[in-house]
Amino acid sequence: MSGEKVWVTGLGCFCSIGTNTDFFWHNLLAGDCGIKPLTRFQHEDIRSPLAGEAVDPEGEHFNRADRMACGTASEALKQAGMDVLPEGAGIAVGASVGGLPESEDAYRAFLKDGKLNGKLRAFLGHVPASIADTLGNEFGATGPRTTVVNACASGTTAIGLASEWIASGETDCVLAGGCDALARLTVGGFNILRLVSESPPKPFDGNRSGMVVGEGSAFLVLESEKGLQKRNHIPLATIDGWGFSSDGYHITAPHPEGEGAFRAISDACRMAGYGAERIDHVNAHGTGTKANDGCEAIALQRFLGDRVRDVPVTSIKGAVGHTLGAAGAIEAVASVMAIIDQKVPPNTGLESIDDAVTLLLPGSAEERPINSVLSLNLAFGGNNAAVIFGRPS
Amino acid sequence: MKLWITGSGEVTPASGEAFKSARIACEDNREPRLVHPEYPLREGFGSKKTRWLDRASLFWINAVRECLKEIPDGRKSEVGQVLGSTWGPTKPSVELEEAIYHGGFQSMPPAVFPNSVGNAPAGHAALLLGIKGPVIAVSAKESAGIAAIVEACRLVSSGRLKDCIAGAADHLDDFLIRVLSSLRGKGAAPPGEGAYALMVTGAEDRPSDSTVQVSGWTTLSTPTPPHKFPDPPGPLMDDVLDRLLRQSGWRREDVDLVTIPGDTNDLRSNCCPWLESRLPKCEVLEFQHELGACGASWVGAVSRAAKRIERGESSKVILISLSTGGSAAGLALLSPDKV
Repeated sequence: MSGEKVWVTGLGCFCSIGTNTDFFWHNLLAGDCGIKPLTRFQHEDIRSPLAGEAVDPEGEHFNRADRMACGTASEALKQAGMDVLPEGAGIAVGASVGGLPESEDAYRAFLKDGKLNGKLRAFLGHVPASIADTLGNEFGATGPRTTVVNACASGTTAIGLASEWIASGETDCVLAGGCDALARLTVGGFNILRLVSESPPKPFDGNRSGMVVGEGSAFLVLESEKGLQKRNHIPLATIDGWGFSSDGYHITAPHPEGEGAFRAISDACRMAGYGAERIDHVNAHGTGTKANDGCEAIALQRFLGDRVRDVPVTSIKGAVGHTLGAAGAIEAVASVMAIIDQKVPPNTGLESIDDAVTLLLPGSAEERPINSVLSLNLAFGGNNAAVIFGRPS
Repeated sequence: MKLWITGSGEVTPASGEAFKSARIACEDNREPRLVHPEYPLREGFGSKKTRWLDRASLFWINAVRECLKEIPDGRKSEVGQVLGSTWGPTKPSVELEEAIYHGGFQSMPPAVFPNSVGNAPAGHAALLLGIKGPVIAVSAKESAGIAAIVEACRLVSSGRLKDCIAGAADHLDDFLIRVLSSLRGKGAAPPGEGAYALMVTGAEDRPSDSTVQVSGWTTLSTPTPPHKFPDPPGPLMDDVLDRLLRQSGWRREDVDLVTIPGDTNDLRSNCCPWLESRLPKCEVLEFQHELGACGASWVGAVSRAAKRIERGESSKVILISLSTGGSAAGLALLSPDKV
């Protein structure tokens, strides 16, 4: 990798199976499933009334997404040994809908009374950039700030972009991650496209029948070598490479051969300076839909080559659901924890592996040497993103 | 690494003489600056292929197609896109929410849902124009356009991409117009819509007749409540200006054209004295009366500044945009004669 080395020094996570990183990781390894009947809003005519719903996040902020983001950012900063961000630090957030739930409630009230009064704060919170602005105000960010809205690849893309800022010397520290709250629009949208499962999702299973929408937030503190040395802090992991690509194939369906996903992985490997021979674990996108898992398996099988039966591949969406803009960030936390703990998390819900899939898919947690992890996400719009995490030497 | 602007494309409220909106003629007119409703946005793409596209996506694919004209065919498939958006896809969201409210979840129009994600316009452009480079869609409020160009500059200067389309697409629907008009007080710039795209190319890959160089780019921020402009904006703008000057190797007195934020009356009344004290001899490029205020129209300002450079009317240009919530983005443009 050229440029400054990128280090991970803090993690924060909040989702349906855990309100912090420790609970999340413990419950993930135990095979817990956070997919339950949806309680947030009425849904009589919905096909799948399931969701990866998290408990109410603590905090004073008006938007649920802001509260989740601030909680996880605070946890990540604490682990990195910081109360606030250092001078010049940046923020990169991946989000799909931001503060949409509150905006939805306000819009329904507007449709009833036709008045905007008292609802503007909710409407403004719908702009995804609001989460990054809330974090910037809360934690004193003065460096670059962005919100990536690449649908389901937003979190991974935000982490990649933040790494790019550090590698290029733009800043020495970035709070990077993703956050999305459950909303009628996303739950209903995936339902109407018939992409949802009526039971908890089973990524890569022969009997998989779709995805389930979840919610959550995760943030990582990323630092340059210079920033790290200044503080004499022990790093958790490195970010060795990141890659992005576009399918240009279909607006909702991934390329059937996983061509774009393979290019994103190759791009990340080129940057890392190593390939499948040094990847010890893959955290897959694995939504549980026929189309995604099929094409992703083809891309990963092509990438792993003759190591396809040696490298364990996990999708955590059977445990937490598809958390959209937060997915890549939560999966990044799982990837770093796999390196720290030297454990591969299970494919929760997996019963019988799809005959067409030759990947090694553990059904329970496994202890094994893990020096590098590839995390991959695919999104609507045909956008793909991959990040490679390494074990600090 | 120095970068070059090697192409541009736009769909604006002023696009095409025949479609020019009459509403932009009067300087005092505060009406939203809208792309003419009959502007032929589907022309050349086919109505079948574009039937499900929302207006922001239609704006963007037209701007990108124009922007790609000068790129050799062999390089087109690797071109990246960094797409900015000020407010996000509000029209598809409103349409879906109304469907749920009136008819329940089963009445949601399936074809509209994919347009409710922020990267949809770039996804449509990739699909219709065969460009398969990385896509990064950013939501950055009023700075969305300049912030997108800055991210593209970073991706090209790091060597990840040879060419990257950067810009923004914004669509003003009726609900958004109503919200904006209740938010912005008297004297605020009229809101605008459209799509503006620029091609950013590395020095080694640029055509020899390229006329505009990007000599500095940055994004910075300051802690600010999410829906307010930094108050005062001066310190943040100072940081952006100083960084751009340092990157470009210029002194303040070298700059001959500048564009500063003027979205609201308060912001303008804060920025004018700042400009007087920092860049007193500099001409100000005004664009918001013609194009309207939005993140996308800032890319239009870059495009207009580039044209001034091409015509020899300016040689060193600074653009600084500010967002509510406290982020800022800046660019420095240079005439090749001065390189």
